[in-house]
Amino acid sequence: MAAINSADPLLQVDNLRVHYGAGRQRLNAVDGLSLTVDAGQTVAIVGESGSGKSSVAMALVNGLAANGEWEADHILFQGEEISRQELLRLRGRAITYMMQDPSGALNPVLTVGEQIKRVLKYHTPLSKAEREEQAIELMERVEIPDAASRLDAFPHEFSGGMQQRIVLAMALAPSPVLLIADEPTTGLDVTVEAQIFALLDRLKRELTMSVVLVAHDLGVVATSADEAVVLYAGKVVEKGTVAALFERPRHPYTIGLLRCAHDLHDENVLNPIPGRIPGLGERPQGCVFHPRCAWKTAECEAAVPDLIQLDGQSVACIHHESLTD
Amino acid sequence: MSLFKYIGRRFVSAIPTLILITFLAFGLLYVTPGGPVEALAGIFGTPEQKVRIREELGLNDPLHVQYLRWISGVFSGDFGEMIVMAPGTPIAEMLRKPLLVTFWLTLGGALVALVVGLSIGALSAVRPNSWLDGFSRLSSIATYSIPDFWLAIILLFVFGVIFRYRWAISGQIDFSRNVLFSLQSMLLPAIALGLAKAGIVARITRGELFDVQNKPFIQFERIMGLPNRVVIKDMLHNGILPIVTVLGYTIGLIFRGTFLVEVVFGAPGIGLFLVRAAKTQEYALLQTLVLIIGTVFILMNLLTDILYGVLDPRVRT
Repeated sequence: MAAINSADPLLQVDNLRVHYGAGRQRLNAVDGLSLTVDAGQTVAIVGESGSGKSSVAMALVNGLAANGEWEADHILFQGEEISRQELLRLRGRAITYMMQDPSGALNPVLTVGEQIKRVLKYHTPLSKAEREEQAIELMERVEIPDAASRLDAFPHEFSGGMQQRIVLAMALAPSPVLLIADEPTTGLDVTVEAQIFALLDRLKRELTMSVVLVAHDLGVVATSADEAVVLYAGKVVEKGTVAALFERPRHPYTIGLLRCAHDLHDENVLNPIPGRIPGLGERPQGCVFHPRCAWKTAECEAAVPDLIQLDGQSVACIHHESLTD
Repeated sequence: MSLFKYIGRRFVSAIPTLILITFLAFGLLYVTPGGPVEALAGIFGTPEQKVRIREELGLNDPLHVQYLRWISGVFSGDFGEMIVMAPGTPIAEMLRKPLLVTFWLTLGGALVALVVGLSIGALSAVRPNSWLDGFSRLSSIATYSIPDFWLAIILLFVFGVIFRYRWAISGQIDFSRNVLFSLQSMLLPAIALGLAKAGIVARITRGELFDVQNKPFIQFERIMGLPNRVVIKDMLHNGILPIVTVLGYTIGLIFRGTFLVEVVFGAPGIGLFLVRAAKTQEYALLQTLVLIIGTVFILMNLLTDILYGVLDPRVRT
């Protein structure tokens, strides 16, 4: 492989669009998302259910539903412009994926060992004996106790947290440079969730791997991610370093999201954002967030706000200067 | 649990049901009107004759002694003798040929049900909502609403009465004599039996194969870049599981269906025998048939359980 210029980002995607259906029924799920992932970095994509964050993850690994379609202006991998076809060829090798629901992500009729070894078989030049060894090593790496003897166990013999570790072992098997983790702790206990994220963090550093983390939990984002993209109704409303976003959120939606989380420590326990996220076919004119926004003015309904570049972050709100947290 | 242990356990759990079947078959003797004594003595039998017959048949012995005598006979292949239809002939010999006929018909029917059901189901799963899918869904509802014996009569009428094919009405199935003619004779009964059950197989196949393509682990395998043939193999393996569950049951239904279809086509299987045995109060024959039919159903279910255990590790626990 050619020497990687460390100045080049690992993956850069410009103006990503995802839509479902065609013709009159065409619905835009993601509208113009740009993403830059540096080597060794974790970039979080944050948003409520329906914001389009999973569509972004699925688009990158070409796993969209049959009626889903995506395009981007440019895709750059390790500094080189590549086509969608070339990106597709990277999946399962340089780019791997961690499924949302660990209980459904494993084939119930095959042993976990077989499933890990299969990934090795198709993506590494290892011999049969080496694959066996490597599978055990991978299971040890994701901290499955007694790995060698668990190789012949079936997925249903593991707990949810252990199943997700197996999924992670499969995702790590081809030694990827980028792991896309789509809400990897859905349905797991909070304690197990913390363990999985700690593991992911440690492995990311050990293996110098980048992670695109799809999440709705800001606490997770604060501890695991370096950068975050806040997605609302398919639009990027704010993005930047996690430090900047948490220090000074600029977009009313980000402010609202942080309030929901922050105020857990306060007297008033719940502080939700009023209203709900619009469905795919009911996106409003102008700023997508204005129907739920406390600061909205007539201008917000008139035009779609551009992403305004600030120090350490960008925000898509015309009122960002006058907002206070 | 290992597969071996699982199979062993299924076998053991089938034993109580088998024992229950022997009780039922044995008890039949005492609930049928008339019973063997009336049958043997005839309408004009004197009370003295009847007493003698009872004595000879051992009917005065305690029940458990009679049961043990009967069951030990069964285990050594002695099911008793014919009394009315062919006096003195051992039941085992009497039943050999009819059992073969019924076996071939059940096999033929099961083949038709599987081949037609699986292919129609798979085709409509691949192209959901196409005209083929619509046709197959409609025809599966139609076929499982049609009783097999009705279909048998219609087929017999069309091919036997209108077209006058000799094989359509012969009912002669004897592979030791004429293989081709036997196959021809089997054709219509097998279609009548199989088509009536193909609908249910097609519906389940369509549903399962359609669902399995959207299962998260199939998606994960694709995203992880596994070759297409591997993913398709996994889809088939997982999609086939629920089909297996109805398989044993369906074959059981086809086996049961042969009784009436045999009567329609005049095929000398055990269905035809069952009717005659009941009519003539051939009690030992009736007992044996009840025993055989019950055992076949239990074995079919056992086979289903074992097959399922082989295919799906989750049921072994």
